[in-house]
Amino acid sequence: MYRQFFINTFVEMFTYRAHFLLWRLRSIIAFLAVFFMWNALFMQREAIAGFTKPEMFTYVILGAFLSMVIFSAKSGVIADEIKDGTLSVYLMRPVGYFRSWFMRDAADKLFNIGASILELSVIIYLLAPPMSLSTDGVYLLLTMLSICVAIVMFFVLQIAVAMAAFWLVETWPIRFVYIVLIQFFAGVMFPLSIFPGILGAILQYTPFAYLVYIPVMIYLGKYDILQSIVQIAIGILWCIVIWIGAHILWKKGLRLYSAVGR
Amino acid sequence: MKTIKRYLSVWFRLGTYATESALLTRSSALTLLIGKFLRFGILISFFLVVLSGGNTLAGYTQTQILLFFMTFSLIDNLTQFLMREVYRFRGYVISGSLDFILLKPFSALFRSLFGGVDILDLPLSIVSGAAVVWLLPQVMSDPLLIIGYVLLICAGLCLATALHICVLSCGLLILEVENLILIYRDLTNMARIPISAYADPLRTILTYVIPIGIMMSFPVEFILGVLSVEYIPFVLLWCVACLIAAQRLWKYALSRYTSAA
Repeated sequence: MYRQFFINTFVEMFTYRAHFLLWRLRSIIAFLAVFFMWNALFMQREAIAGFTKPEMFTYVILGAFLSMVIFSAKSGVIADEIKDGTLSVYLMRPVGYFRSWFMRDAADKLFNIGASILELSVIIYLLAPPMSLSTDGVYLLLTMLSICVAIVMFFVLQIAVAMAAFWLVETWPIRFVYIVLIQFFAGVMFPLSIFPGILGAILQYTPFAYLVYIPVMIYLGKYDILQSIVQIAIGILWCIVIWIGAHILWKKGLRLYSAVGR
Repeated sequence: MKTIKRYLSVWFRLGTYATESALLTRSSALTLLIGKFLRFGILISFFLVVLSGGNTLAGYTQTQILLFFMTFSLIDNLTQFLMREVYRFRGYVISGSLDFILLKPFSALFRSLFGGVDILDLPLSIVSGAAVVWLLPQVMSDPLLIIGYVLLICAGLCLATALHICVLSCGLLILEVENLILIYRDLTNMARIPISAYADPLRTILTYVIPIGIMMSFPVEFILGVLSVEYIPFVLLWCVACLIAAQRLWKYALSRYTSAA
């Protein structure tokens, strides 16, 4: 049954092609801004914050790919569905609300994986940046695992933030702060280790770091195998904690829910 | 003069309504403000960290890059403060509310552009402006250069207006506003750093085709002596041309509006 949600979303994305193309264009612009900023920063330097030029370009490109895939999600509208009462329709159906959203997000991501690979391949071909590619099978496996954690992490974060809709009149402000936090603390624009001292250390252990920063650092071999496993375990722990928190909020929120708007 | 007074009065009244609406839920307004300042603070911290110890970006020092960023922030926030109504335009078109705007005895373009100021962008505009005033004496060689800097900032705001008119026109022609305005925002975000940091042909596109470079980078480049004074008349002419072209596009788009909603 949940496969149908996946298929429907996939078909829907083919229907709204212009919207998808504009979204892709936005992703490319954001990537180019970050890429050229680092290119300019490396003009007179060999290394920044422990990253060589090939390592930084690999970080930026892989980070861009992960952000394009992980942040592609339909579940951003859950808060709107709670606010306008559309949630009632789903509550009456014999389907798990979150499971159906997970399938929709999965379809969105699959669509974006294809587009991102194509776009980034063309960009890499045109710009020919120096890169530091990993061929170690163990690290590749650990990177894949950390990406899976990142996908689940983003989904549970989306749900946790959406739960605010049960209590707040306006959900956009909370969502705006959440977007700002993700924009910077996931590590898409810069590696979090660039910040010195305790600030840098704290930023590396927030849930946002597990979305992009940790998977790319594992890929680059900045952590040894044991450290990588520990990071993945911490990521899983964060997912469980956030999911439990979101679930408690969901249960409490449903008691308050009055289907206003329907 | 009488017309300007009337339009100012209308702008002030509409602005008051928009401000009252924005501040209706105080906690929401405060949260949005925190988000805006957080983003601003993180970017400043990033530039401070990455350019510490005499490091440069595209040949510019830390103070110069901060001036680029503050000038960007000033123009960007002022634009959003004045032209937030553009973000709501699609709703007016698809709901048919635009018909009521067209019936009013003042310019529909004025109403669609400036009809709803966003008071939440004003604090950051003031902070950016204050930072610019603080940074300018540290980098400029001649106080007279400020005249050119201010002229180029005004030119930047005119270009931003022209681009917003183009977005409104697209809203009428293809009913697409949100994505276009977000693409505009993404492109302007590229001017957080000097446009000269980008490689060609991107740099040329960002300077002459979508004049983000003229809007955001030229004022600082002029202050730093990178851009010569001969460019100012060219920039002003370019602004006038862009405004005329944008207004013509708006008139054309309006002539195609069918009020189908």
